[in-house]
Amino acid sequence: MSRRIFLASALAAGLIGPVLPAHAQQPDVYRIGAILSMSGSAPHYGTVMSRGALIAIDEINAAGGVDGTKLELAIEDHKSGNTQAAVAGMNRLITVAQSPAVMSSFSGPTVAIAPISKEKEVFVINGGGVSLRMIGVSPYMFHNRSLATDLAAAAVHRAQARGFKRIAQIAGKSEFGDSVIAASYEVAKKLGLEIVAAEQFATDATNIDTQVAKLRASRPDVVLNWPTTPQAGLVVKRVREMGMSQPVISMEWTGEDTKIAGVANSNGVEVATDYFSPTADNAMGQRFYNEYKQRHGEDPDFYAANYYEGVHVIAELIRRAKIKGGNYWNGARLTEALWEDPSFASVYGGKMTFQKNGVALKRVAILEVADGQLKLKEFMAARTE
Amino acid sequence: MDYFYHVLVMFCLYAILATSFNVVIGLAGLFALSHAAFYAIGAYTTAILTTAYGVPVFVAMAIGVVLTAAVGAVAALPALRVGGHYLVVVTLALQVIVIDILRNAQGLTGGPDGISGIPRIVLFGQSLSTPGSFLVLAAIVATAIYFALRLLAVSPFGRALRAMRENELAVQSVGKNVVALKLIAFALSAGTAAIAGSLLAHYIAFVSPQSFSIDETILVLAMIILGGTGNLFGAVVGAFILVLLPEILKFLDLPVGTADLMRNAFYGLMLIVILRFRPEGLFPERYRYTLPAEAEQAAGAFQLTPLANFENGAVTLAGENLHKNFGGIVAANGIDIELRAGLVTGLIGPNGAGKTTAFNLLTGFLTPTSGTITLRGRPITDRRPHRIVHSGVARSFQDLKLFRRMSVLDNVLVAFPNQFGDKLHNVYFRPGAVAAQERANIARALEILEFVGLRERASQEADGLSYAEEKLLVIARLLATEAEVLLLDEPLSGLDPNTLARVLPIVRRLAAQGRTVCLIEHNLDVIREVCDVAAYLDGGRVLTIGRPEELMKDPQLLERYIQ
Repeated sequence: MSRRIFLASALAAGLIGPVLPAHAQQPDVYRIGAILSMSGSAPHYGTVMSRGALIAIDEINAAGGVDGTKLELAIEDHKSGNTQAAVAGMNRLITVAQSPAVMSSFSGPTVAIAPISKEKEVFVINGGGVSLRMIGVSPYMFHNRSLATDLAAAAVHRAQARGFKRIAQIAGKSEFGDSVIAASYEVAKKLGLEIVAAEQFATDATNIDTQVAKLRASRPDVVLNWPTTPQAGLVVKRVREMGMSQPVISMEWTGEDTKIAGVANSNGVEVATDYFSPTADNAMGQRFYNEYKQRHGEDPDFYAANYYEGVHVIAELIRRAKIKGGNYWNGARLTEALWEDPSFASVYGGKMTFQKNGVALKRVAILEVADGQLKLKEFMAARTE
Repeated sequence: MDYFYHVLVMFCLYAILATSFNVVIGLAGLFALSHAAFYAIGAYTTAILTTAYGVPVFVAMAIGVVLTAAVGAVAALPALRVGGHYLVVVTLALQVIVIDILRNAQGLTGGPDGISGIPRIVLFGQSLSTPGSFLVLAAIVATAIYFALRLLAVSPFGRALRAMRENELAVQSVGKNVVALKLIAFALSAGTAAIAGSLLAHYIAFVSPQSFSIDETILVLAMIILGGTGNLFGAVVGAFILVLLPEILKFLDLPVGTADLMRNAFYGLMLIVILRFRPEGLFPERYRYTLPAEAEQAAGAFQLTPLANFENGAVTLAGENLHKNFGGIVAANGIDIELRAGLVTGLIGPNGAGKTTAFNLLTGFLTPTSGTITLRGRPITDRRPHRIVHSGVARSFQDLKLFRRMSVLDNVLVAFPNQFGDKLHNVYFRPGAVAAQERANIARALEILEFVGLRERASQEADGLSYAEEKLLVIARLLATEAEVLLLDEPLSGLDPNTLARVLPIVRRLAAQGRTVCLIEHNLDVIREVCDVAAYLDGGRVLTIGRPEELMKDPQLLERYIQ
């Protein structure tokens, strides 16, 4: 079907009424939906995510598609987090593009489309949002970006690997902060490590001296720093200024944090995070990296990688579901196919495995801040406990 | 079809937002930019109450509407003191504060992650979980709100709002309480926006701060401007276009990556083009209208309402030892004046003598620093202007202060006292009585316009009148107040001899029928012809008072003013 014909029939389907049966058994093309941040305050995310997804689509189509049927990407814009736009996009993807598989981004839009995913049995895979609120909201919703609690678990393992016994942790007073502190307690307990202090502060606090003083008084071996930018930088700044020389492991670190903490104070801070790097043992990652670099003249980040990976997951699910026959091009059958074997090739290298909560467990990178730059130190195996 | 239904649901919600916002922006003329904040409070209240406290959906929605209306009324408080750019800043601050609270009151609002799992609305045993099923409810609510607000817009209350938009001082001078008008307009607008917010919360089953940013306020404002400020139907059309247009643009075949940015640019361009050719919006507010035939037929010859207990020459309004200081400037320095029933009193004096200050003090537009004002012996010194009008004292302004973007007829109608339709509860619960009185008032207004010679202009916009006609309309508006005491600030200046010949008898007739008339005038010939008494003011006090011809012989006056 040409683009023009598709648009005409889409218009008819959307504005006049359904002229095609929903999710035909053997479609002419597998149209995958994507609800991304294409405009608004943060269009950068939508740009790199769509690039990643399109590279995967082209790669699969160049190899003959999924058992001979081509993939197509239908992109909707949630305008950098507008939930009404996300819901409109989701409805449009279902009605006009007739996509039973959708890639979403940002936490708010992903939570907003969850009821539709649940009611219409639409398979959703999110590679951008990290909120815990996305967990358990739809049985057809999955995430190939690590959750904050999984990254916290990796950071505790990193502390153990470096031989630390006494852990202090600090976080914002929020659901996010509560959950990472609770997850760290659990993992530390299992690893036989002692949590000697756990401090929290108001999410918009600018003075955290009381909390840092308590961390110092607990004489820890290491400080686990859970806030996001810019408070990650604020914690490091005050920890160092109040005379603590212990190593710090963060979950997020940006240039803004370095600016707040200062280059000298930032040196040596480790960051446990999702990070895409095409190592020699990672053929899928190298293939993606080379194609991205060739097309766009820049290195792909992990957002682009996650959406490249997301398309490959959906393609694999279509393959698996089709083998079983029947009306396989729907969210329920794709979900069923995922649970039959929740392991998939990861663009980060090796395999990623979807856990019961729908979140993929993949290897975590340990980066180190050196002179304001993040340098890859090593990858850690995926684990939740 | 779900996509199509979803677009229509969003149209219904935005139509509610646009019409309710138009009450404040278009009708009341209060440029407030916090509508998305009210939308958010409605949405979050029902979200919190239903998810955290298990409150039934409709109870939670009702609480959200009442709470938001209360917040809206509180938000109106700054509007009582500031307007224009200041009101924009104050309401923008409210918008920012509300969104900051939503982002940071983590325990209550879920912070940036918002609140999910909001229960669906269940009606007659059916959960409204699909766009199609929700559309029915959204359409019914939007239609009901449209007609409810339209009823308000065409009522005397709506007319008073538009008059306030045109001139706040003038609307007080015809007895309207601007404090109440502003509070009610804000509360009503906010409460209605909360209905849209609570519907959205239960439709999407999720709320987050991103959905209620200042961008939403600007979008709804764009709907009003595009459709037509002050026209509720225009706001609905604006909502329809701005909800539908982006969806239609999605069918444009554009390169991936830049497609949405290009669509947004195209969308903006289309708005610019539309407003270039229709600067007042697609459906501008109508200033002209066809008069109801029955009112025209009912209109007879104008007769002033007879006054009870009229005693010719008795003191009605009196100011004693009135002082008014503005910092070091003394505007009134012990004004003593008595106005009497059945007499025309003229105030003369050089510019800056304190004549208009005296009017402002006597009518409550200024509070005296010291001194007392009495009406028929009862003190009225601290009363606000609209209450003084209700007591029977009305005034005009030197600069006329007409309600320019209203019809000539509306300029008169708004001034009638004791209108049932000025009370919101009557508009909705006694519509028959309101309509009947309105018909009678239209007939009476036509009689007044006939009396001053503006009958043929009744259905025209006041802005299109000549200067002389404007002066006549001011008198007509004053007559409509049915006040016992009429204070006219330079009603005759700038009039040609023909018009003067029409107006002077009117003034005399008012006095002859028992009205207490006081006018400020510089034309001494006019003073001689029309006034029974003249008071000469200078330096913020009455220097002399007496019959005009006697005053003209006063050597002090001759020296300081006449020569």
